[in-house]
Amino acid sequence: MLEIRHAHIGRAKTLYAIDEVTLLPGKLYALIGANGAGKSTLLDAIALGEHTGGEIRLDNAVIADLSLRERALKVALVESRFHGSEYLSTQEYLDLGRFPHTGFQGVLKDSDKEVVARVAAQLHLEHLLRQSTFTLSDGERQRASIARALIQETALILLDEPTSFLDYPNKRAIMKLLKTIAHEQQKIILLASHDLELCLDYCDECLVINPETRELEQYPVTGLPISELITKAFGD
Amino acid sequence: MKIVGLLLLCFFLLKCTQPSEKGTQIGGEVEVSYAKHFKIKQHEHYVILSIMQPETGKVEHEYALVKKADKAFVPEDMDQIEVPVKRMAALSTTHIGMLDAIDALDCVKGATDKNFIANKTILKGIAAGKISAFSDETSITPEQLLGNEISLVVYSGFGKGFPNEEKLKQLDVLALADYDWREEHPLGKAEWIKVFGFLTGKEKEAIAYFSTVEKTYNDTKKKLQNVKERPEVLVGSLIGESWFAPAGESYMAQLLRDAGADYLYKDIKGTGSCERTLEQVFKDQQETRLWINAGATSLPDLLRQQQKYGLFTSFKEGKVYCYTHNSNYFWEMGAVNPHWILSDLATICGQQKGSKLHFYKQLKQ
Amino acid sequence: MKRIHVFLLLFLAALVVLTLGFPHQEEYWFESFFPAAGKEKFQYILLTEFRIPRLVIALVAGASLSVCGLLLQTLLNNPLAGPSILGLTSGAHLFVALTILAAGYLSGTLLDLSITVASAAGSLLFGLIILLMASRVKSQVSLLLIGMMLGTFVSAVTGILLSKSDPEALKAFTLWSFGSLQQVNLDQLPIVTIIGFLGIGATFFLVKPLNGLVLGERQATVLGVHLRRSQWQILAVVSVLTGLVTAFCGPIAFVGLIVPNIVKILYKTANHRVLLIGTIIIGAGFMLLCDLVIVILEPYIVLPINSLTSLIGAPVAVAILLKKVRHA
Repeated sequence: MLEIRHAHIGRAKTLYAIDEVTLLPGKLYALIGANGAGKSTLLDAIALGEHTGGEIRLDNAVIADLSLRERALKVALVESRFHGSEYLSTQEYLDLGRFPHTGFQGVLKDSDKEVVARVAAQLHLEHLLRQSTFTLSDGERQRASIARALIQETALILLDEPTSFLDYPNKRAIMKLLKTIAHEQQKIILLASHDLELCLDYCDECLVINPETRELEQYPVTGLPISELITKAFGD
Repeated sequence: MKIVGLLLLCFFLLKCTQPSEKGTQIGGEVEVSYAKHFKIKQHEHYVILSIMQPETGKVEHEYALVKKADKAFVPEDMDQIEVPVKRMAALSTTHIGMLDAIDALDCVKGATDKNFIANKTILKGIAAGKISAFSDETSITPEQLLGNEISLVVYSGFGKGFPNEEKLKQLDVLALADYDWREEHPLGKAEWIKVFGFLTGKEKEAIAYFSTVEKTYNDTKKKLQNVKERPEVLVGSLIGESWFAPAGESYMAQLLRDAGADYLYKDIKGTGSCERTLEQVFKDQQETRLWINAGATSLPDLLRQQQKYGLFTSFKEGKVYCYTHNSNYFWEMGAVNPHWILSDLATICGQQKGSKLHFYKQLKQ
Repeated sequence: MKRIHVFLLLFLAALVVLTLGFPHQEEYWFESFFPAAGKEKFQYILLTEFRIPRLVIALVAGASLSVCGLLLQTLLNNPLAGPSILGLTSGAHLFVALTILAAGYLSGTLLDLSITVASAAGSLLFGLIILLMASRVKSQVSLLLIGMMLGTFVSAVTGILLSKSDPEALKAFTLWSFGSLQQVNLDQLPIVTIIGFLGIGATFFLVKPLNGLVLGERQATVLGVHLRRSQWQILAVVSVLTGLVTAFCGPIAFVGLIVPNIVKILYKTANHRVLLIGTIIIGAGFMLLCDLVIVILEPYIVLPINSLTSLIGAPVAVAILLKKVRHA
């Protein structure tokens, strides 16, 4: 359970405030807001504990008080930009998901390798493992990123614009995948997006950054008309 | 030798028959026996000084050296230098040495950086602000030259002309390239004193000085021509990865030959230097017992530059000689006094006894 | 991976034997090992005083500079990074110039160690400047430009400093700035080798953060990499190694840039444990090969080591740059 209480979000100046927001395991959450509203900032606040005032707690632990390693065991982040490179194979990319679980040389134990193999199979990445991450298609890259986050085995997964570089079928495929993972593996998944229709179709709840009130508002998706969501997130 | 002597005799006869006032020797060449890069020709009312480009041997620049009263006689299109030159800049320390030898330092109003000068008079002049010190050719401004009323700049020629030469000419400042450093014969370098003599109106002193130098040099050379024992000499030191050893026809190689030394690379063609690695030199000359021009002031200093020098026999026996303890003095006085260098080298090689060393010193522990 | 390591090690060993046995001038092959009668003592001196120190310093310098290059490339996420191109060598240059000048004024004697320390401090300072710039400039190529500006700045400053210094200090500095593998002597060899080994060895403790940095600074932090601390550690190791090599061999350009790129092409991995081993072997081998080329060319021309590495390195750097531009 992720609880955000009385926090102020923003690096140089406060962009918006969060009074009381609670995210539950087994649910897919969408974070909706205009460009520059502070979606990535909130993800960083949660992942790195960078916020002023208030408290962000994950399973009763204050994130800001955790060591980097402890935090890495609880929170995974999927960035919008894919960090592949020519000499980084997909296998190595996925292996890096075990980073917080390994010792000082980063060598994977057999149990770690099992996790990697299981997730790779689950996300249908086995045939890509020997390939360079450079040559993956956009859809494959996004699947690999999500797989790496799953391999990290954290309670909370944050995704920054996971569908922005994808074509329509791939967008839907990724959203469906995320929903399945959240529901089946009882994880808290929070994705930042400005793709409202997709969010309404697949997410369980919406967090909207309201530029008028400068507050983060939480709404269940069911019965929420898209026009109302647009007004809340982007103004009239 | 005889021919040279004969020429010299002719020369003196010519000089003596020459009336001291206006030169009657129209178109008479002034004797230049060793230097290849300049010529001096007497005309009725003026003297023509030709500077030759060392690469091609062709005339690079001609100057008419003329007294103030005779200026009208000089063709319009010639560069005129009014002699005697009262205020000049002499940018190489070698020039200072030559001017000093004919007691003409008074006309020096510009010189090189004080770090490269040994002459006390010039150093005092710089300290007193009477002589401008220029660190290099390109940094000289017209304001500095005009401010010190300098009308002639003598510089070490490098075949490219002096920076801003044409612009300076419009301000009545002439530049004159001195190629003494490109002369291969030791006496050829020294002979450039004649150029300075004619510039400063002390041509007689210059010619006399040179003939003394020439005689002393050639006497020593003759004496040592047929010596049986010629000790082998190692020359130079490493610069970066390369040991630049003087080639067989170079200035240094000629001096060594004339001083009765044996030089390993004496048969290598060329007037410049030949490049060797430390290992090659070590193989060739590890056992050589004399080492000159090592570029250090003491044996520990030499060792600091390259510890492997310690493996050379010459180093182990302490037979290392160099002028580095006072390089400026060597560069200043060496060119105009090659007989001193010759004498130093002959003494170092054991070919003559009792002479005191002018430039060289045995490196101390 | 292991097979490539073994293969490369064998290649390196062969190169070592070949370099030591290469006939200089009128020698025959392997005369260093099996000298002609009467020349035993002479060949022994040649081998121990000239060739072995030169060989060892080539190995240490090659491995150190290449490891520095790899570390910087990962730290800055920039395949064109290297200690010389980013100006770390220039920093060392500046500080060595200052030390030589100061020593010239103070006593006229120089300590190798003081030059090493100055050289390391210089590269650390300039490394920090680059790191600071890297957080402000997003473009990888811009960062290289900044590095080159640092180099130009330093050559201007050293030019001014040296024009005011006495000829002795000028000579000492000029000799040093040519770059050479022959300045190190048998008795300095242990200290150079030990510092080199310690520095290179320390990098194996940085394998994990280096691997994390492959995914970018933000992701690395989320994965548990202590970013500031790791940056400091990497920069410290790079400074010590760059400082060491620059102090004893003078500035040697491009090795740190080329070798890690060759290693990545060869191993096709981003695992730094593998990359480091590969970089050490290939870096040492590359420098040795350069030195062998110099020895082979000696009868015709005496090439300074820095000229040769630049001759090879500059076109390789341009090739990598072109490839990047095409992909971007």
